[in-house]
Amino acid sequence: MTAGHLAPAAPDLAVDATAGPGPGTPTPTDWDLLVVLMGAPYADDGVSTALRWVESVARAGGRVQVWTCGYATLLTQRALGESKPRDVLGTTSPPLSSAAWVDSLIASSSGRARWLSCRYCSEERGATDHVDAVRVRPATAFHRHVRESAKTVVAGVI
Amino acid sequence: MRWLLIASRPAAPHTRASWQDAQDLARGGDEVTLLLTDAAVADAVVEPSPVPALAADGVRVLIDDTAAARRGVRSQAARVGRLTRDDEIAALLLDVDLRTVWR
Repeated sequence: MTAGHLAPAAPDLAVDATAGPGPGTPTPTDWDLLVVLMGAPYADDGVSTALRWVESVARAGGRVQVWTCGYATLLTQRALGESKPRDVLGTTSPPLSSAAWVDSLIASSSGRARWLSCRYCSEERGATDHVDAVRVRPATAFHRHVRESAKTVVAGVI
Repeated sequence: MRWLLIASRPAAPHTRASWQDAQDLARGGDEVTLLLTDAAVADAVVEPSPVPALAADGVRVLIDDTAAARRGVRSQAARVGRLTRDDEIAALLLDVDLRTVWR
């Protein structure tokens, strides 16, 4: 999937037919939690904490979606590859890259997790080549994902 | 009203607003849980720790076990607050009646 993959005729109001239980007016029961990740992913360990908790929510049976904004859209770039560079001491095997981690999370969640990336933020940063698990969404669709989630938590600042 | 305040930024004075918010909300009669994670766990282990004063106002202070362990302050944190793990945090995040603010 690349930016533009979901480009419909009226992108701002379009319903992704594969999202949640089905198209129509979103209700707060479609998803239990929306986590909004903003800001630079490597500025501190806030993003890794958020990802750890997202995984825990999905493991607990919760339905969780993540919306990335700003530089957080860089987390899922295909160019990151499958793994991070090996530890300089060579004591461990290379850990998954953030992009591969997201792919793995979505693949193993049985539909209880999904990853959304703001198209505007992605394109502004030239970060449009996301891994397959990512759904690129127009910025104005954000309100829809808030409305379809029982709870929204924002982490970080742009 | 029930609140979950998540403090994530480096320690005071950056997190002072979270401490103050938690205290004010609790004094106003709200049920408040303050979760310290990331660099904010350092707040709990300074001397004197601000945790007892918050607890006296009714704030429940939780400390992210993983964040404390990463910083080597797990034992110190356990002396002043209650360590919490990811499964409990997931339950808090999934509680729709718990208003959650992460800063």
